[in-house]
Amino acid sequence: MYIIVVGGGSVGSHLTAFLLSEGHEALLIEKDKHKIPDLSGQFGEALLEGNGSRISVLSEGGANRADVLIAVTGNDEDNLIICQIAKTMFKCPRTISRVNDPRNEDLFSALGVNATVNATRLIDALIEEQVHADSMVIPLVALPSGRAEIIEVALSASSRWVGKTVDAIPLPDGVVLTAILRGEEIVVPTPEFSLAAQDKIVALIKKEAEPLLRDLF
Amino acid sequence: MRIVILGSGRLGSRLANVLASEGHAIAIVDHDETKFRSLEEVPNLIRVHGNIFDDQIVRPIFSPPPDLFIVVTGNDNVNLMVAQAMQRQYHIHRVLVRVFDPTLSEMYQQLGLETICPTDFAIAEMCKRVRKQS
Repeated sequence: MYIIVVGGGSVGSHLTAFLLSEGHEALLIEKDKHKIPDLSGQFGEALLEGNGSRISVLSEGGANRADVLIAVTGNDEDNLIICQIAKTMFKCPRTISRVNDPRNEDLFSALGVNATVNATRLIDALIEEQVHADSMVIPLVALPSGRAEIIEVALSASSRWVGKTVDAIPLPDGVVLTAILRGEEIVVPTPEFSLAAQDKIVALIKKEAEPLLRDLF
Repeated sequence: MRIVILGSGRLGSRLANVLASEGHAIAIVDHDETKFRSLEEVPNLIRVHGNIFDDQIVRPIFSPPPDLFIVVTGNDNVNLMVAQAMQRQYHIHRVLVRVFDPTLSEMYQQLGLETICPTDFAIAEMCKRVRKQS
């Protein structure tokens, strides 16, 4: 896949390095001259200097053949416009945006951004996990359609669901279990699958179901 | 008309003064209070100091929705995001957005925003004068 990442801060540069290591073709776009020397040493040809919210820069970066564009600058307004340009001018099939202010999540979805990732919510969830040392419901990705999201529940050793089967969990409406991650293994959940500590349950859920799941786990 | 203007820079503050002198009810919003200093002291020109995304600030001036919302901060991307956000949230019928970048202006025009590009205006005017001379 060809993936364009706009914003060469720590999120953007780590993400680009990861995508390249996974064998994807990736391009990082960064406008800050001061960041260019370091990034250029790391990424070489996979770096483009320029303002990623300019149509001409995205065009130079080959946005017309990009499978995915990911906007991860520190400015929500820039991230939104970048995704909208990618969709409208370059027919990019998939746009993902970092959302710095959680209040902008719904707006971005409504304006056509395919997925949003919100660091504040992830950090909130992780802090809560530290505080409660319980199994935690962690939002991974928000989807635009139907106010849905993909979440992960990491089962703690003290969880009451450890040793129980999947069908024993009284899941609320609007929750679809998609996978269970056990170490490196990905398991498609069957009703009789027996849960263990450290299992990660991945589910597609309606946003309303999130607090219900928090109570359940 | 009831008009809300975002951005009290050179364009926003002058525009507010002119529209207020024509009798319109104006509310002008800026996060920098010092930008209000060139505004006329007249009762139909209200200054609102704060962030346009702050609900407590925005609700009183946007409900009921104004007849016109004019977005003229100095940043194209801010203008385009605010215009789309407020139009959706408060169902404002008419929004005018300043966009410096001509290609961006044209793109959002096609997406249904009413954009005004000062670069295009200046080019047209200069070309007109060049043609007159030649």
